[in-house]
Amino acid sequence: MALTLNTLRFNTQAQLDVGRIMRELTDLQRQVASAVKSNELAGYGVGASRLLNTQSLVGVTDARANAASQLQSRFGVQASALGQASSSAFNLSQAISDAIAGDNVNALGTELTINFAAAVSALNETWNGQPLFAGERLTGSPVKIGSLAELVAATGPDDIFDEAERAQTIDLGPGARLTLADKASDLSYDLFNTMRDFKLIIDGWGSSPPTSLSQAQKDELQAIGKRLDASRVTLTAAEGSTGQLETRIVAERTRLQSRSTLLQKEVGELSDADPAQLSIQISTLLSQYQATAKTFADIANLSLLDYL
Amino acid sequence: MSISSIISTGLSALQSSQAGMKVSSQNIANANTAGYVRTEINYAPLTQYGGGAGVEVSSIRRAADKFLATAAFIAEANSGAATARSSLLARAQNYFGDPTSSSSMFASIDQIWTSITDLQVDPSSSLARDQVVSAIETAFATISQTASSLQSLIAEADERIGNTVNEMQSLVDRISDLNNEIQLTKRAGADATGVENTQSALIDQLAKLVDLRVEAKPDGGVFVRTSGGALLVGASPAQLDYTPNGASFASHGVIEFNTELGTNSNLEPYILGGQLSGLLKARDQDLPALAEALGGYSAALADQLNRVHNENSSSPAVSEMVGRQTGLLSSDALSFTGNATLGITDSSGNLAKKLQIDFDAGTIVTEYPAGAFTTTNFTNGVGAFATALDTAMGIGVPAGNASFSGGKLSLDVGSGGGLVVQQDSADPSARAGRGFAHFFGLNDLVSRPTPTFFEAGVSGGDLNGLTAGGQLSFLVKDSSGRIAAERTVTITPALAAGTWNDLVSALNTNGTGLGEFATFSINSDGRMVVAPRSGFTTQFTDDSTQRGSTGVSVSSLFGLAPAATAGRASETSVASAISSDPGRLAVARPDLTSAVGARIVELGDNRGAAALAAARDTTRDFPAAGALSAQSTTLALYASRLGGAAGRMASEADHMATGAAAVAAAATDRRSQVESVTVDEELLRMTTYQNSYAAAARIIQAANDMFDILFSIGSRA
Repeated sequence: MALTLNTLRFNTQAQLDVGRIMRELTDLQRQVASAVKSNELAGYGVGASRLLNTQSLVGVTDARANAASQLQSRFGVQASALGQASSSAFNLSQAISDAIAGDNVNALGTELTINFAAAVSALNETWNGQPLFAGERLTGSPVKIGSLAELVAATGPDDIFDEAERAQTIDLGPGARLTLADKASDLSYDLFNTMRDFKLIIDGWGSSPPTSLSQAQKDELQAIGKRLDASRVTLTAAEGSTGQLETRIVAERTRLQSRSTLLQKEVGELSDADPAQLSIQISTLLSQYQATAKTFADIANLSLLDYL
Repeated sequence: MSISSIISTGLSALQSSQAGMKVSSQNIANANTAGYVRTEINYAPLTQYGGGAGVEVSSIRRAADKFLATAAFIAEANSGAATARSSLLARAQNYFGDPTSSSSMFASIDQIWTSITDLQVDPSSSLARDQVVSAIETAFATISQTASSLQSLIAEADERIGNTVNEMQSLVDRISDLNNEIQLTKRAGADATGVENTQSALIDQLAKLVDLRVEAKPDGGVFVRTSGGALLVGASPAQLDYTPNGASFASHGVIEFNTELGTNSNLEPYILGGQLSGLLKARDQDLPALAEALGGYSAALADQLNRVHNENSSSPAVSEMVGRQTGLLSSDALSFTGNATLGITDSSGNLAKKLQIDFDAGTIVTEYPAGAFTTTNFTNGVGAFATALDTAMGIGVPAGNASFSGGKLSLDVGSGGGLVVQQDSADPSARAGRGFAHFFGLNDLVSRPTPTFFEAGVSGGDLNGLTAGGQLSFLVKDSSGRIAAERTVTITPALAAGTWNDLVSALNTNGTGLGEFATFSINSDGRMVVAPRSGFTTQFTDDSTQRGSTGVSVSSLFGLAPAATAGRASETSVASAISSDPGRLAVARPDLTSAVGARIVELGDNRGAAALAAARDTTRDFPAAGALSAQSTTLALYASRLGGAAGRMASEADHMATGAAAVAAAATDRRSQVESVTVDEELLRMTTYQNSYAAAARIIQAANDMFDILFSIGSRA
């Protein structure tokens, strides 16, 4: 066996080189496998702060977008309910017009009953078990009367409605809080007052409604019809506002989702490993490894004894 | 020249060549021995009566280069320090978790804000409330776990310091023993290079542990000092001693050497590099800085959540409020200014009565029933106020109670009623910057056995209320890290009966207190603070004081020790009442300006939840805490800066370690070029010695032939 040139110094340097290359290769392999630059804060150094802040913003933005998505489904139900309440006012007004035109009021009692029930049902509509028009109050229904008789007996809004002092609102970040819906009393107190007055007129006719309407009766019914139209306008406007709110929420959700996408892109730029750069680094390290190994092999096999 | 002298000359050449062969064989044999320094042989002509008489071995010595060795020692020490520090900081930052993962500490904190945002959509949802409570519990548990891991790492660093000191002692002892052996060998005129090589290898090992300066002794052997000048090996080995303390927030002793030196027996000021230096820096500076920053963040997060939670209410409102441990006593001054309102609701959530608390006027005006007002007066004392509040709450239905005991203010109301406390919008109540409910922690979301903030609001003239017999112990170090003094202030009966000013005076007294080294005072927030004098640092080593029956010590009340400041990352969790009943989460903000009789508590009120969500982005002042400087920013940004600090420290330490390792490798390589064995060079020398030996043998042979010829001439004659 030849006495070789592999002195301690030479061995040590070779070990250091191989050790360094293997460590770097291991890290690159981890980056390839995980697709992220580093799985620890130290891997990002001072950039860790930016990465964490951006990720935190992604989380909050996504949560707000999720809240907006939930509200979007609420506004669909809400608009439908307001549409139903508006329709009941419209239908009743239309029935009055038809009765005056046909000089036949026989069906008005039934129409009032049906449309009163429809309006109450619409205003007591719920979403996820929560009344839509009770403000911050979630227990019970905002319209607490269930019959025209109770309506007639009511002397004020407190006898008709059971709702909170404040409308329900939500905060989706910078900007004013959004009011989710007006309260039932704001939307329908006039409607119910009109229905009550209408009911009193019908009750006044007793069991024998007029077979032919006098001008005074017609005027009285037309006045009711006009009030119903005014209530319908209020409800239609609320329905329109709900649509606008839904549009605003959709826009907000879209904005939040876009922001989330941008933030995620930024997170990706901060944390994602660059495959091209990794490939070059791996190639470079492999070349270094081969050079080190070849140098070691060549020199280790040299022996002065071969020449002595 | 006589023939015999020729033989003698040849013989000297034979012997010299043999000696050379022996040296080369020894070098070749140790070609791969770490720390082995090549041995060189030197020859000198041998003279006799002015003429040449052959050759002699003038010296056999190690090819050691003093300057290269020193450079290698320094580089190795720097590398050892940087590597030790880097490895600990790398693990410390790991405890914060993978920043790209949803399981990191920071991700768990983000989950708090996400869940609260969800809660806004349906504040009555018990599932959503559970998720918020769970998120907060998880976040604080993760913070606590991280804090605990950092303390374990500090304990591990301390243990490693102990092990390193033991290893140093062993090396120092062996180097000293070898000094004696080298001297004896040299006195006997024998070759001491083997022993010197053994000693050199030990010094190399020691140089990795601590930075060294090595000087040769005139009679053989070495003096070994740290770069700071502490003599580790002189006439005898230094005696090192260190006892690790693995407890959390432990007060660590110093590395003692040659304790007979008295106050100068602390080795640490004399250590400028090496693994030991890195461990000391990590244990005493880096890791505590991270732990302090984490404690500061945890406390700020808890305080901000509590600030909002105390301003709001659950729906239905809670019937009982048990405040936090304030550390206050009934006899303490109340020291609140401004106004607050306590609303008491009936079982339906209607505002049954309203108590307007005017701290400036010292009055509680109870409105019950609507339009009927009763005034209750109170003096400026915590106990007196609680009594007055109890009286005021007892008026009307539902009747309520207030009491102050063991440092906690408690309120309750019967008959299914509820309690709501709010600040006055125009003139909010305040004690040391916190409102009435917030300061007393009446509706805290997050709790801890001892205070999370240290603005206690005490006045110097307040009775200190400390129990006699307690002690405050301090260690004072000078700018070099030497122990300047150890002082203990005992709470004597006289001092216990005195005021905070009396305690401050006792602490500021020269000789018995720390007057020569630091100044204690009560600042404008009613917090006792300590300002070390220039050139000194003080640290609490023990605190057995206690305020009455509160269980709160001086250091935990004012945040004077790491266990109180960094410790705030531990033992913090969701208040037990809320944890067991998430329905107590203050998701609502009732309108206390409503008239008595109005319904103010609604299930769909999400204003409290919105305020909690907004806490993330509310700017507040953060005092300096370890690795993070004082700043005014949001909780979200502060959290990311905490992560950035951990990443930056570990990354910088890693870069320093890599750089130092490269420098050390280069220095070692340079030293090896001069000192280590190169086999081919030894082979060349060996060939030379072999040829020289053969030539000398031929000379002797020739001389012998000449003798034979002479003898044959002589016998013929």
